[in-house]
Amino acid sequence: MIVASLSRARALKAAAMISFILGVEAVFVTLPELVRGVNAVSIDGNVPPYFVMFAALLFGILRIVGSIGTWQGQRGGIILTVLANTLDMMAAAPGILVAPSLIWRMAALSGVLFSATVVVLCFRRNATAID
Amino acid sequence: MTVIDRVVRLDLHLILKSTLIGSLMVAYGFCVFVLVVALGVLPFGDPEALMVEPEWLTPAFGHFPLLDAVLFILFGPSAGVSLLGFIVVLITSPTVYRWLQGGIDELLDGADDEAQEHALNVMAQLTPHLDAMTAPYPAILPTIVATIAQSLKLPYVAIETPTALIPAATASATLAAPPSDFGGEGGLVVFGACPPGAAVARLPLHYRGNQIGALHVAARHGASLSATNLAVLHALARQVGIALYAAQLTDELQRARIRLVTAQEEERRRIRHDLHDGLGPMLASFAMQLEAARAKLPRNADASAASLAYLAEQMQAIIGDIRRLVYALRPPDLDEFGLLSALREYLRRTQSDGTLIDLVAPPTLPPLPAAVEVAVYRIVQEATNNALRHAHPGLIRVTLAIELHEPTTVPGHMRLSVAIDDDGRGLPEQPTNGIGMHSMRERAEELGGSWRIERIEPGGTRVMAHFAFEADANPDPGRESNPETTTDRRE
Repeated sequence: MIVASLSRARALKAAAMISFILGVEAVFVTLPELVRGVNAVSIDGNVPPYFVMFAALLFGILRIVGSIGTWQGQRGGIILTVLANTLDMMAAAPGILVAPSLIWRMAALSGVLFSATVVVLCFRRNATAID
Repeated sequence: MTVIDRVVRLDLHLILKSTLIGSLMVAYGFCVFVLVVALGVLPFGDPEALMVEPEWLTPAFGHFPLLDAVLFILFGPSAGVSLLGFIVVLITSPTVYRWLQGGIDELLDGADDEAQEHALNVMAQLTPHLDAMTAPYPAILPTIVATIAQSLKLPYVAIETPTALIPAATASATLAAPPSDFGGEGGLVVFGACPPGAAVARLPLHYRGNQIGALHVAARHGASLSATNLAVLHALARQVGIALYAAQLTDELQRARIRLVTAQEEERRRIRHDLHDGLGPMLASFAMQLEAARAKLPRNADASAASLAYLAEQMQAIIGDIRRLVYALRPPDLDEFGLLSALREYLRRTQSDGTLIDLVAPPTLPPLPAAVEVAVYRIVQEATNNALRHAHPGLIRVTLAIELHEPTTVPGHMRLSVAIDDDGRGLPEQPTNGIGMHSMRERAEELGGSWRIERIEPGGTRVMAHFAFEADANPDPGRESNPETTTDRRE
């Protein structure tokens, strides 16, 4: 597996990149919907509930901030990235079953899988030269 | 301890660790369950058509959409699908938990990509202590274990050596000491306490291919040493091995020096005995016989009488020289009366008008090595002479104290302290290090002891010397005991 051959430094950089992309994607996807307002989103049956998109926007911002620290190998950034992706995973998972359309279900599934990948990469350990 | 105290004193590290593990395990369990349900439902149609809300949960719905979704997912699928989901989560959770715990431990416990850089950082923290070290080199070992433990946030670090470099315990005792790498015969320098049941990693310390010690390390309770920490410790072990080798060399050198000085004093004592008890009496007898022979000469043998008289005078001079030589080798009072009586006799002879001399000492002293007796005697001699000559004190107090660290039924560790206090003019602003002070310092340090001089308040000077040594397993049977009083005042 690709992940198995990565050093910790590279794994953290990969996690930072993926988390950053997910965060930017979440901001760009949810912000236009949120701008429409709670009522408009509630009426529209083709988008997730307002609070779900708000949570996705919030976690997206946290992911962007955390990814900067993760790229530099800072412990605080790594912890923030892990927590943001974990919470987003929990918020996105129900969408796999109850999302209003197939596209949103696939988005939820990909969100869960990518978030899980980021968490795994953040906990990637070096292969050690221990006798 | 109240509940509030317990909460306030919670370790932030523990809170963060618990939060991370808790949230990750909940997320993992929920996501796996959702995926299993999705695999069991989605291929057969719309989930909202195939999953049924339980009637008993109806009152809970309609309050919060996310809660509705979660309850629907958890209780909506058929019993078989739900059961399968729970089983998958249960089976995989322990493995995931262990993996997460290891990853979180490494993340929170100072994991670095560069183990060597971390090891260098730890050594950099040790450098100021090494530079400032003035005590005997083996005393650096407690600093090393403390620095490693604090840098890597470990509860227990210890260095085991084949022989005890530092007498008595130098740090806190361990709750559970690990098995010894040297059959329990060596010494152990410890920092912290080994958590009960914790796994202890033992890293051998090598120098030039020989194992000279071992580094014992334990992780926090319920945790294991991270791979990065182990790598750092292996890198540190090489540096610690060098430091330990230097400490052992210094210790062996000091022991050899003590043996040398002790043997030297024992040899002087033997020579003094031989001269005083053997040659001296023989020469004295010879002189008396010469006198007797001269007295028996006829009255007309004046020349022979004069020669015999001259020989007798020369013999007396030789006897005087031998007596001075014997005294210079070792004060005779030490061998004949012991240290306490010898000091008392010396102070009595040294007594001057206007100065009170006070000797405070235990009633008896255990048998002391000859070298230590001479060193204490000479230091008291030099210090009192200096005080009388330069300080013009009203009072000079000589205090002897002895501490026993182990029972004296078997050879063990003893510590003798001597202090000479006076209330005279005190030390000058810039005291010169004269021959006398140099001699006192050398006498103490060549036996592994310490010596210092300092001002005392409100005025005066204190000279202190400390000696640590083994109890004399073979005391001199010819030495008299010393049933002394505690103090001896003379005016």
